[in-house]
Amino acid sequence: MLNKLNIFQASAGSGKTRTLVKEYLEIALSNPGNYKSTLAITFTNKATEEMKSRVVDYLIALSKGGEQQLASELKDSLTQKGKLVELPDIQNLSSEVLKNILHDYSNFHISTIDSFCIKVLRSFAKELGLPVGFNVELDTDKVLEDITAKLLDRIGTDEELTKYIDDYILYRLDEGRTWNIADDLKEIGREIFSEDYWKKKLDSKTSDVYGDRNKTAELISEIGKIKFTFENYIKTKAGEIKSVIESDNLTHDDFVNKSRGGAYSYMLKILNKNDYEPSVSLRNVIGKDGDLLKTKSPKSAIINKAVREIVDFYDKNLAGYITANAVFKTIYNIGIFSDLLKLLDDYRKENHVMISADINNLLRSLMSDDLSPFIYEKLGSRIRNIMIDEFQDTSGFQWNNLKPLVINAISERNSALIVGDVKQSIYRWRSGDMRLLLEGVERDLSAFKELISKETLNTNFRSHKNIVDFNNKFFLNLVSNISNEDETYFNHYLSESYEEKSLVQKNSGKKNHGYVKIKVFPYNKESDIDTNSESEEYTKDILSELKNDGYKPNDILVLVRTGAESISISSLITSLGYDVISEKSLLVNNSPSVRMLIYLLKYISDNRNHLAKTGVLYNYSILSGGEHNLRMIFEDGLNKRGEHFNGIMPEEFFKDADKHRIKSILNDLVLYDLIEHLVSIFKLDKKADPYIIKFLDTAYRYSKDNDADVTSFLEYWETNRNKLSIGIPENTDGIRVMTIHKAKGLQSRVVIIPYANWELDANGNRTSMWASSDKPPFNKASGFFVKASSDLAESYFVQDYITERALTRLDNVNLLYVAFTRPAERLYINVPEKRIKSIGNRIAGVLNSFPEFSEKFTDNVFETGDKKKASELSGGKEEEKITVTEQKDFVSELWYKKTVIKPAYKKLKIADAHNVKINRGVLIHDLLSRLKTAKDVDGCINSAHVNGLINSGETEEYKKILIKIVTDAEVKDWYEDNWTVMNESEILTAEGKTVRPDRVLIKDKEAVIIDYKTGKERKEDEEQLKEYEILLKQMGYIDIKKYLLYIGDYNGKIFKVKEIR
Amino acid sequence: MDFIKRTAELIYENHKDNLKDAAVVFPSRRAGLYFKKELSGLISAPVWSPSVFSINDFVVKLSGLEITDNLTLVFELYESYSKYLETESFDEFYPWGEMLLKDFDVIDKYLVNSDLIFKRIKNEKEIELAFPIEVVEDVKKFWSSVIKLQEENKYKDNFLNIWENLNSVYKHFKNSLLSKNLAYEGLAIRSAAENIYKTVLPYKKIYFAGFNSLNKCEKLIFQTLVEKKIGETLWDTDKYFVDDDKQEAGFFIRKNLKVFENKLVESGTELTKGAKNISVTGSSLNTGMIKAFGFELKKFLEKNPGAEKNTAVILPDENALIPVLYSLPDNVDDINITMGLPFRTTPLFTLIKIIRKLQSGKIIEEKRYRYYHDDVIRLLLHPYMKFLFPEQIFGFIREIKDTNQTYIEPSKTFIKSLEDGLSKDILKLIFKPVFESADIIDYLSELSDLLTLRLEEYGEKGDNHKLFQMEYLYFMNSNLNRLKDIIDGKKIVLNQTTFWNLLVQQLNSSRIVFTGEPLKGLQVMGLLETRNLRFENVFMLSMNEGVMPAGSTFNSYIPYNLRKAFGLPTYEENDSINAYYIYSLIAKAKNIFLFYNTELGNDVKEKSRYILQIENELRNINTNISYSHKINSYPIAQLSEEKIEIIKDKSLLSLLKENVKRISPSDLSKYINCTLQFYFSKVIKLETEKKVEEILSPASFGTVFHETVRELYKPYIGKGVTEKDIEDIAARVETDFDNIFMKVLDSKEDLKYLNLSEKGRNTLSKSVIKKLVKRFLEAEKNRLPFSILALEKWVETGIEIETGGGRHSLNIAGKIDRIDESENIKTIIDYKTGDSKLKSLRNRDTFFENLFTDPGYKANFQTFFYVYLMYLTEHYDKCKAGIYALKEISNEGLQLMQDDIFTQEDIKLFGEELTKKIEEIFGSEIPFTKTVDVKRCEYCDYKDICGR
Ligand code: SF4
Repeated sequence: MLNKLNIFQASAGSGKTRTLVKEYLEIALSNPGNYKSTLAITFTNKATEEMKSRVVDYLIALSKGGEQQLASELKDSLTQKGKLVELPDIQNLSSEVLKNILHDYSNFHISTIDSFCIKVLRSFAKELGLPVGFNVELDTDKVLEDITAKLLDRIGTDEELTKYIDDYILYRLDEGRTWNIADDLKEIGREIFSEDYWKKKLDSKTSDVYGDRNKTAELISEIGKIKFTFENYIKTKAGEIKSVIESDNLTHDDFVNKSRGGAYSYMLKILNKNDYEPSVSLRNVIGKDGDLLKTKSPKSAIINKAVREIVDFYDKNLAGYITANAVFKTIYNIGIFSDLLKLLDDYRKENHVMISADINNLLRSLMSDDLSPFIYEKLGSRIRNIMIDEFQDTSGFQWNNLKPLVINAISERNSALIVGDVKQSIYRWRSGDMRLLLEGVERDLSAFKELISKETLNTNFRSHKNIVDFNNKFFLNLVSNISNEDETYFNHYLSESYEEKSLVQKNSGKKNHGYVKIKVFPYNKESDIDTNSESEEYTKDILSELKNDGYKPNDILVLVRTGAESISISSLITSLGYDVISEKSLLVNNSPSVRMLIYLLKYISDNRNHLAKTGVLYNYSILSGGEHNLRMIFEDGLNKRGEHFNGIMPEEFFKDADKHRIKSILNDLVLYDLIEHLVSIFKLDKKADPYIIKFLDTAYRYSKDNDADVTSFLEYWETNRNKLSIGIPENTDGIRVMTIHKAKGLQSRVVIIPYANWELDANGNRTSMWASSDKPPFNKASGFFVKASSDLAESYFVQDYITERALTRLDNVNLLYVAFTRPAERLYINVPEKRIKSIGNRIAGVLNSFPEFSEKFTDNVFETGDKKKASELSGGKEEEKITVTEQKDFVSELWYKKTVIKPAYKKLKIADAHNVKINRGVLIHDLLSRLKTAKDVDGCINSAHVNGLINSGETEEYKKILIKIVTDAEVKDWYEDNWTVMNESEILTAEGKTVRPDRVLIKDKEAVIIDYKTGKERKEDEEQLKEYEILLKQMGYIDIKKYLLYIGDYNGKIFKVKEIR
Repeated sequence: MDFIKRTAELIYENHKDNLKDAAVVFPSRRAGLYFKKELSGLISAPVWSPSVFSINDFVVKLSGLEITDNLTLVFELYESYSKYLETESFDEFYPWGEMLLKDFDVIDKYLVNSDLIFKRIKNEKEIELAFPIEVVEDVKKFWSSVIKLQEENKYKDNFLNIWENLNSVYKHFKNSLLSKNLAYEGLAIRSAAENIYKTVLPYKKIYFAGFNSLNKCEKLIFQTLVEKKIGETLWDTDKYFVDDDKQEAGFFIRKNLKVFENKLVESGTELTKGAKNISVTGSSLNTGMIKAFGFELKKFLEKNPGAEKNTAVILPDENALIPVLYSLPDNVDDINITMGLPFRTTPLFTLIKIIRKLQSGKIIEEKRYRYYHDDVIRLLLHPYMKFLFPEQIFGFIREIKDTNQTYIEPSKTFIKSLEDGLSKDILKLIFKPVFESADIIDYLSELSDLLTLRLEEYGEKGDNHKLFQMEYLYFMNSNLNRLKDIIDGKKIVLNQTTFWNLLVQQLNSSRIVFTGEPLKGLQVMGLLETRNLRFENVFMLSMNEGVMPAGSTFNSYIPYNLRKAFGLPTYEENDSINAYYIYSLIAKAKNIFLFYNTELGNDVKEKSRYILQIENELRNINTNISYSHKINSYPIAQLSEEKIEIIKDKSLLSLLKENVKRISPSDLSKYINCTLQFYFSKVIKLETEKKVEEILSPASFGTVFHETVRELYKPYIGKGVTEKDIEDIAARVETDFDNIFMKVLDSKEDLKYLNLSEKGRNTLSKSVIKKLVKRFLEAEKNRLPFSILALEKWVETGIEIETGGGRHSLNIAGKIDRIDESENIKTIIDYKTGDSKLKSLRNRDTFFENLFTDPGYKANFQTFFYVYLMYLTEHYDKCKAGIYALKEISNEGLQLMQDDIFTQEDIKLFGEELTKKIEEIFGSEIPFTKTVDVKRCEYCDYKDICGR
């Protein structure tokens, strides 16, 4: 459907990709050149490739008359639209479009949002003041490492910064945390890339204090004033009242509520505990206009009045105070932050890079609706149609950067398409903002209201009927269960995201079975048993049940929330004898070969590192297989013996007789070469595995982008050893264990969720948030990075706080949705309940309180659907088009000995024992052979200079030398115009050789051969001339003279002219 | 039929009598070599060769200008630019300058009128007046988007400001080059083209052979010469892409054939009819792809012995060169490299960067220059350095680490002790402080000379590794000469930051061009180098989009539609050129192997369009092609964790007794954590790596804190401490902390070089300790009054245990942070700097069990251990024990294990359990094994051995 903005809500398993591709084809086929002006945006490189190859594959099939179903769908919609005069011939159209795309592939615009943005940014680098021709740095951690280190180095020199840092450390000590703040600074530093920060910055109406130290200091003192005024006022007042009370000898018993909420106890609380909050019972008395004292006292009136004043004051100023307090705790952030921003700027310039995390933020300032035609002009792409996938993960800035394209498309009556599913939005921590899909887009484009259509894709092609039904009901009930709470703001997002219309899916009609089982492990305060291990124990039963029903390990996907959970469940599964594919099992560092290589690198950098030596020995022994004596290995280094080591290491590893030195060549190599050598020496190439390949690749990439020295690589390794992993190789068998985040988009026949119990209000590791307020003085900073604690609900930051909380909850519900919608055939959910409230309680809540579930919920087990044998359901996998072959070994050979290059340094320099000198002889030889006649001296010198043979200081000197030679009485004649000079000409011989004498002078049949020599006279010199003579004779020259010109002292004095006869 | 061969034959036919009359111009020099070889096959006696040029050489000859290097050009441009526009420092300008240079170059190559292209347009009418009709549309497209922007917009203004001035910059730049007889390519060819009509050439015929895309200048030159009947054009074509007008490989050829004649009569049919094997292999990761290539090549050569000399390995991505070389199988005998190697992948470049850091980070103190330890160590471990004095260098590095020196002065210390000679000179030179451009240049060229010498001296004869290093050095040296020349010539001084940035930037983007022996062995080459050549077997790597072809990031400041209007090439043209190369290569080959990377990433895109084209078109057209496409994968081995079990047999037990004669609480804690860890660290003392501590490590931090407190309390030992005393101490901390602190550091061998009074992060440790001490004193007030009995007290005593082999005696010992006394009750106190919390003794049964099995009870265990030690040695029977957990000190103060004093019973119970534990260690029953609980491994140094 063209000519408008289509927003597709595509729930899990609803064939989103096919829809997208179909829409694309519709546009592409309606005009064979349309692909050029159509941009499809995807989120990952993988998705990009997948979509491209899907489009191409469909086109191939269509052009061969295949894919009938799709063809007729396309035909219908193309005809309907009446875009075409004739009935479309899908087959021919497809061939034409296919051909166009294959031969104009650069205009086949399917790309990730990042690469699109980078392209725009590149074309505006100069105008934006960014480094022209920048590279893109993907490793944000590396950048942060660098700039925080620089920041720390300024401590002590930069007084204000030092103060901020000092405050910061104090704060951390107060929190009982470690004082090594480098890592923590990195966390704050991460915020300079966060969209939340930039959003605040852009939204802020007043000018910002960040970056201005004076203003920062002012603001800090203003905020301090709010805090201290509040505290001082109340404290002073309380002190006064206290002395009134005490002077009157009143005690707790004289007050209403006595020591629990009496006025006296309130005063004491203020003074001793710095707790200013009036208790509920005290407020009750005040609210009822009652007397605070039970007994009569002359001071009663004073006390009553003064306490009321405090409470009044408290209520009036509380919001400001809480706000000030929240900011004040982290006031150092403001200072540190602006410094980091500057350092980041320097970093970009110095390294000529853009940090990929930074790109959308920087582009944001450029992208505006008015400027967009100019931008696309400079860019040179004319985008008329646009499609955006996974829209729920789009960030506000990304949307902003794409918006002009969308507007452009709809206002020119072309096509725009947005596809996504709010329920599957789980990347908020990467700035994804599902609100855009929910409502933002429509709001932003309200001018085009009548052109926007919303549609839901609600057929589930992935899961079997019973699972689809379960999820439909489950999430409807879950949402209504949660909605009983009174957080309207949260409910708004949740209920709209899970609105019945978009949630409830139809079954595809082809998959009519499916099975769901939930088991709850109730928490018992008394016994405090570990429900997690109960669940793990039970998982064993699930696995054996699956085995009995014929499921294979790679039919099973285990979904977890965190890395720790993954490790825990993986080790359980491994202990049962299954192969596991998990993040950990794929870690490169998991391989003994890799560990040996790392130890070898360490050993080579420090030959007295015994641990490294032992590590080498140990891993080498494992790799060699067979029995090994562990003690011999570990105790080899005792008393510096190392005999065993020397005994079993490969011979090539050593060179010297004493075997204490590492082979010299190893000392001579840079990182990548070194590793290849080691691979070769230790014969690791004889048994290829993906770990070594990945390790080599890591080293290769590292040396490409960094200083390739071993020390820094080892450091890099240290920080990344738990991140670098191999991809899952084709044809691998094993149970997959994965985090839900990673599993998004995947499916599996069976899914097990062993720990369905994450916290509803936990937001990963990020405990702080950006908040702002338009109340002075807080409006002077665009935003503050404060701890997201619940008292913010009463602060000026309430709006930000509530939003944050609502979105966090939604995230956690979405995770559940993503997890529940992965399986095709079976879903197992274990709910190990915990002391704290978690999503698990909600699940149990649903099972208990809604009849459709509670009926089937007995003994903590809920079951629905039917268990079929695996073989009954398997539809047979699609045949792979491409064959996969396994490569069992690879080549790592030392190549130096067989390589030929022609050295450019050509002995232009000569080195003797103590010196390196320019080989002037060779140089003069070179100059002379460029010379045609004496007139060419200037040109010849100039050209040698331009070509870098001599520098400007030397030109005069060499010029003199040349002139001296060409004007020398004996040879002058050769450099005059009387001859045809052959100085750059070659003689071809019939044997296929080319010969180039230094200088041949020709006049008719007469020829003079001249060869320049710079060394001592040698016999061979004459031989060469004689060979030339023979050639020239064969060429028909009759009168041939031959000369050797010795230019010995290089000072332009010809040493000797020697005629050869 | 081979294009070059046919060319040779044609020319031989035409000029048999005097080949010297003919000149041949090829796109590259290399084709000329092959041409001469073919030609010499046709002659029977020696002859003067025809003149053979690459187009560039030919142009230089025609124009009489010298084409100079980029650095010089960008410098010149910088000068011109600064006359009209604001400039940044030169290093920042450099990449921008390079981009402008490219734009100027292309403007000239396409004979563009700079007055028009750089014209600033204010309203659309102007366009029709000023521009030729055929470009008006495109020009309008661009400018109307600018004109429509009415409001002030800083990005637009920035653009216009630059754009308006570019014409002046261009002209100024051009003139200043011409006045020096210098040029960039475009300038030279434009001047050649503009004068071609009147140029007299000393040849009867000039053949332009094997061209594909022509810029306007080339076209003009060819056309003029053809018209003058001197020029002839020969095209290397194949019917496949000539006839199919969508096939981009023929984009230029089709155009050219409309304008020029092809003297070679007809196009080849090798693509449409020739028999070929095409095999495509995908493999994950670049290295995986390269290794898959090595594997295939090996198999291929095994099956086809001798095929090596007809085989070319094409590397479109030059970064792959080194890994590819390592992947050439042993049945390859000779390897010829003809391509550029990015200088940044060389060891020399790394060295330069290390030196840059070293020199930029040096500090001066008391007139002595000292260098940052990290840079020094990196430098010494660089391959060019490490080998100079292998033993001494390792020793020196160890010394730096052992003594924890953050800044060092090697020239006055380490280097002094070395033997005189070249190696020493090199090290001496490197540690000479240098500051500005001229000095740095001299310094670096001297260094490169010395390194050349060192290679001469140490390198083995015929060692090509050495040859490569020499090339690198030579390359850098010529670059330095260039720089020196420019800097001297322009009389400018660059400060060190600018200079280093410039140098590194410039080297970073430069490549060393290797030329091998073209007619022999296996050819490893870039795609460009294959022009016009023929190989029977072709292995082509990196067949991914973004590399093949290079993709659409077009580095130009000229907006797209203006490029189009003025006929400048865009990325579409680049794609066509690339396609021509690859199809020409395939046309001529019989066996073609294509490799691509299947693992997508930010810099790896999907498989190349050429694979799609071949798979879906070419192989359908040519039925003589046998085509295969496969994915290569490396089998994954399921890794199971190795078991480690050290059985305590006789010899081990004796080793144990030998090496463990005294046991401290922390030793036992280790044993409790993991028996294997105990074996590694205590029994065989497997030393872990040392690093220089910059910020105090947690361990040193603890030490320093302890010592500081001891220092402060020293005068009060044995006396009662009053509130006044605490205040006095606090006052001392306030006023004299630096001294106290220095004193403490000085007393510790491994900390005394740590200069914590310097700036930088080092100062943090000091200020943190100061803060902690203050908080500590605050907390102490709650305990007043007390008197201090001992500080940092070492307690050691012998015990006897029962082992299988009889009684054995050993010592238990520990250092007690402090013992104080108040109201007749002694309290044993431990300061804890790490995460520590005492567990309550409420449930005695589980408490004592956990104490000896659960690392979470470490703090309790150690404290209890001290209680027991004091009980044994000094018969403490009425005491309490607790810890100061410094992190929690403000909230918790002193944490006591229990409020009451320890009962005799408990102490004895502890003693019994302790003995049992020690007996277990020295008994043969329980072997040393890995702990089951992986969490205990988190901070263990032996993780990589255990695979945890
Ligand atoms: S890594 Fe773990 S198992 Fe190995 S020694 Fe250390 S603590 Fe023990």
